[in-house]
Amino acid sequence: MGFDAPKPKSYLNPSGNRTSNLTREHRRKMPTTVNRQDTRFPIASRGHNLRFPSASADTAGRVEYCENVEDAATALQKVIDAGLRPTVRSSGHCYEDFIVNNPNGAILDVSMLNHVTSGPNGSGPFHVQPGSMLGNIYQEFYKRANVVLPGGTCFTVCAGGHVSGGGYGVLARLRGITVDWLSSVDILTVDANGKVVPRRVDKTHDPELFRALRGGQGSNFGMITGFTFNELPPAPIEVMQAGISFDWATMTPDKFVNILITFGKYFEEHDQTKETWGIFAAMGLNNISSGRFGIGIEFTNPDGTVKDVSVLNDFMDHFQKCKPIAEAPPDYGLQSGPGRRGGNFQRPTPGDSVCYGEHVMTRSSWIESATGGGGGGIGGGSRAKYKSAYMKKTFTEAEALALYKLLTDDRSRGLIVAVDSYGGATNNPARIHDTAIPQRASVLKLQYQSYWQDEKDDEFRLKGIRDTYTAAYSTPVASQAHLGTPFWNDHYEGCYMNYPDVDMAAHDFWPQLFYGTGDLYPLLQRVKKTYDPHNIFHHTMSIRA
Amino acid sequence: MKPGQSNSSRAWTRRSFVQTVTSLSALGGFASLPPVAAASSILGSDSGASSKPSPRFAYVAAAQSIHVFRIAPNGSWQRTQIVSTPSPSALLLSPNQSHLYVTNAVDSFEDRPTGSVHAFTVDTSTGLLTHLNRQGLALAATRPSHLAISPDGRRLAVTSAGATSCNLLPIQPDGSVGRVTASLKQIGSSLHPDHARPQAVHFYTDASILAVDATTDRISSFAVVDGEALALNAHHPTTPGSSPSHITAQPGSSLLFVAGGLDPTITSLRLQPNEPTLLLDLYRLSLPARASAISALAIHPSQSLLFACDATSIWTARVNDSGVLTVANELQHGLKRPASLVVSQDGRYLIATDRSRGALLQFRIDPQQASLAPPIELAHMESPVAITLKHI
Repeated sequence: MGFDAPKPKSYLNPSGNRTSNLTREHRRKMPTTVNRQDTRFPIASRGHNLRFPSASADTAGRVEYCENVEDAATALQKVIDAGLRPTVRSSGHCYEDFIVNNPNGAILDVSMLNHVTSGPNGSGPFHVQPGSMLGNIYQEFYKRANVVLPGGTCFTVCAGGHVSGGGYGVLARLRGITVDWLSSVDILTVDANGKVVPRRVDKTHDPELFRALRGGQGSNFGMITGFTFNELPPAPIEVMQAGISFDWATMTPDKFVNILITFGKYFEEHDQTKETWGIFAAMGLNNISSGRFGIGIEFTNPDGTVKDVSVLNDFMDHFQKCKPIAEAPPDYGLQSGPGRRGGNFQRPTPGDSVCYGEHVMTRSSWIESATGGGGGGIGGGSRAKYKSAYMKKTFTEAEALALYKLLTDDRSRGLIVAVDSYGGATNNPARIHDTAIPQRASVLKLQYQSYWQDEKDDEFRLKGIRDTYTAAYSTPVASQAHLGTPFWNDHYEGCYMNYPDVDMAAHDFWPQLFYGTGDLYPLLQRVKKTYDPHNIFHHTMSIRA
Repeated sequence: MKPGQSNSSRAWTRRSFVQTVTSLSALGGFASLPPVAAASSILGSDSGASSKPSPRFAYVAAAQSIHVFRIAPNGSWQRTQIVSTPSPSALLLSPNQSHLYVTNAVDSFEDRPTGSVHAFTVDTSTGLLTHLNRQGLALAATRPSHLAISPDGRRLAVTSAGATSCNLLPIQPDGSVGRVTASLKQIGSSLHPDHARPQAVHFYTDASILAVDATTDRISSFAVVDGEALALNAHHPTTPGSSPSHITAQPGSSLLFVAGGLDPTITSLRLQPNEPTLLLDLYRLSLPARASAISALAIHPSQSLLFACDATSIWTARVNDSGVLTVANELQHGLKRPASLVVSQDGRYLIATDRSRGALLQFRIDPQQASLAPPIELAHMESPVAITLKHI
């Protein structure tokens, strides 16, 4: 017997399920390959978190830019046939090394797979491809149908990772999270024979895979090429933005504790008060060296108007006792709108005038508010680290003091703890069973963030965020068997996988931390075995079947 | 014949070995023999001289550790060091024998789902090991099972059962192992309803690798591209169902031997790097029907003898210049779970590890008779799985 050159494999193997057979014309299409010799490669081979690739050896060997579904299938099959590891990138916002740490492997970039479509005359179904930026999705659906996809706040984050990981933003309390609205997913999986199989999965076709893709991340199972939403809620007409800020110079432990407890208690007490569900508030806790910290608020009533702001006023009134700063700083009013993810809470925000006698608010159309933010396109970025936690109740004094202690210590310099309101429509227990987001009882969602530029600061910054996080979840209210983490108990609901944190992989209970202690992780393992039998799609925290 | 007697002029038959084993068992088994004394007495009586060096040190991968043995000129073995390393599964010395590399068959390393390779510096005079570094493999490359080093000593190839992949790692000038630069995954299945599983790898040039795959019944050829990437060159199919699991060759030789993991067959092949057909099948030897799956394979330095171990026996086959294999002898080894074989460079000894019984056994080779003497037990340890010898 002699050697046989590997035969080109047909990249599709329709397997009897609902698949779209590809035409001959489609098969001629080829993705654009950017290899290491290409001048675009330094940009193409990384994402927004400049900590990755972790080392030059971890860099991918090539990037395949896919323009359509057929490109994606061709590229995936080619990569599988070559024995390489594929990682799939939509916008490159992954917080960890899951995509761009791929030694001599292939990054399949679907950022140009970005069509946003709808049915005739503004009706559903609404379809988005994984490379569609959230900002563009909001604009397109607004223009086409005056509906909104309840999703995140960063304009340039794309649907691929955002939706399949859950998807959440300022309308979460009012409308739920993105996957609550998801009707079907188009995905390319790889079967036991190494053949790419296109699938459209929904509640009746590959239902377990569909559930897994409603929060369990596409990166575990295949290459997503489209999301369909049969219906979407109406877009709000307008929003009111407001803010409150506090001066670290006059902050005391008691006052700090009071602010945090007040903030959390409001959402704990109003979780099922539907008229408050239009409030999204983000409290940005940062290090004392930044001078101030604050709360940004975006509000719309359930009818999509802000004609009545009594709910917003009531919320802000809760902080009168906290004596927010009365004197407006020199650059007051020059900031971008509050509530923006990644917004700079280190500077005073509009609305810094609770003590002027009335709350300062800024009114805008919803679409301007939703699409006015940035978030970075190709290139750019910074070094960063993130962590997350879901809270079912407001802060305890011990938790707040733990944060106070760390935030008034230089160790946490540059750290932002974004405490977002949560719950409301999201807290529908029924969705535990048909999505892969089991956190359905939380009223706060925390995102720890640290950004820096210089690699020399890695150790300091990473230690700062880790120490703060560990301290916050080592109080008596934390599960004593899982100290240092917000493990599931009466107070916490673990972490959010779209804010991945590889530090948690040090705990053998990390799957439960992110996916809960119920039936979800076993289901994800089962789906993984069934639809990715060769573990083609893997990363540091992928499902371990 | 009693242990301690010279057997240099006698070919051992299956029957005589069974008798020996029986008598040893009556005395309480191998464990009743002082290992060092037993080895020494046999080696001391040896009159055969070899132009090739005798082993000076031995390194054995056992449960959570590497055992280092000093081999005296008289052939006695003395354990000099036990070094901890997690779940060692295979080990290999660098070509200049200055460093030892050990695969750790673990599912997680530094909280990531991957196995690792442990590098040690070897003291030239004492043979003692010093930890150098431990490097993770590619993600998902859990439970690595085999490794190979390029002839120039600059690269490691490691196979992983967990990922069904071959990883490429650089060896730094100081001997430490660098980060994985490439991982190549094979997918497919043959008669076996299992995933592709590269069982063993072999560098045939500094930039060319062969990997045998038990579940796709093929040998794959990989090219090392630009010193750091891996590219699939071609597949060489083996007999369906043969489940190739082991590959052995003398360094620099174009003659290769591949053994099946389920099917007790051995195939000789010739490497033809400059020909369109890279591998040429020369001969396929089917062991007698009573033979079971081959668990280890080793080639004599002369390339005239090949040793294959199954559940009950070590089979000695003669190899001619054309690669034709002929069964010459069968020796019931008495091992419970043989895991690996190695032949000393002087061609005098075959050493086997018995994983279940925790024993390290030495068989004296009679090249003329193509036979093995009954084993001498050298040492005990928990679950020895692999062994390599240092000769310089």
